[in-house]
Amino acid sequence: MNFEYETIEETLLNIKLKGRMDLQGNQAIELEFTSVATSEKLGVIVDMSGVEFLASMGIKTLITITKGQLSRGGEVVLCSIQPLVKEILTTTGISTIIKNFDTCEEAISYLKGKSL
Amino acid sequence: MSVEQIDLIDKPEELTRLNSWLSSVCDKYQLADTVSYYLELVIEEAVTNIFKYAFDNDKEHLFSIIINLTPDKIVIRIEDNGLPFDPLSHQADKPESLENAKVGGLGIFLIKKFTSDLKYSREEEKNCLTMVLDRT
Repeated sequence: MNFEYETIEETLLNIKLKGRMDLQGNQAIELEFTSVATSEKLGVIVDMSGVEFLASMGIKTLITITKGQLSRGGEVVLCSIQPLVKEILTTTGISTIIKNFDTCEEAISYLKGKSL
Repeated sequence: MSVEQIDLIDKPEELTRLNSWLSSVCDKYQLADTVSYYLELVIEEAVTNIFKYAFDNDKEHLFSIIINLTPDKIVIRIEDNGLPFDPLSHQADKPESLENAKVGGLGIFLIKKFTSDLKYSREEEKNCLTMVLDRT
């Protein structure tokens, strides 16, 4: 598991995840990913297009960063989720408590409209 | 019926070997994408629980995964000689809000959702978890 990130639209952070969000993948990136996602911009987009597998340890990290951002007045949204990964988020109810969009363009529009 | 087995040590680097083995099993039996995902998921969640709860010292420990495949079903049996741990007694409910979202127990929640049968037993000092997946 790895990730890249960049500032977009001046105020938003776009993080692109790649690989398997399982026990091993999560261990590889958890600390740095959590730190990056909750210490820079208030609006964070997590591009999930490169995530081919999601398990409960990956969900844990998504919950952690979303709660972390919320506590500082920010928000995390997910975008471009692969179908089977989306099924896991839906089955666990996470898709109703972390906002998610089919495309990253929609995610960007949403966060720009929030003026965080 | 076909049988595949892998024996593993509870070291993080073994997870790479486990994932490679699972991928090869899915390819060998031409499992559908969804079935492959569910198979990898339920094993991932069970193995995560072994890594987190089964052993309380720094020694290496063995555990085994045996997969029985028939045209209709996949039966997965995972055995470890760790501390008695019945994963079925730990479960989280679906979180209703971010505030009360807890991850502990979500693994078992997912296993229960995607298996058609699930049993735990303690046999000869081993934890034995049996999970059944439908192939259709």
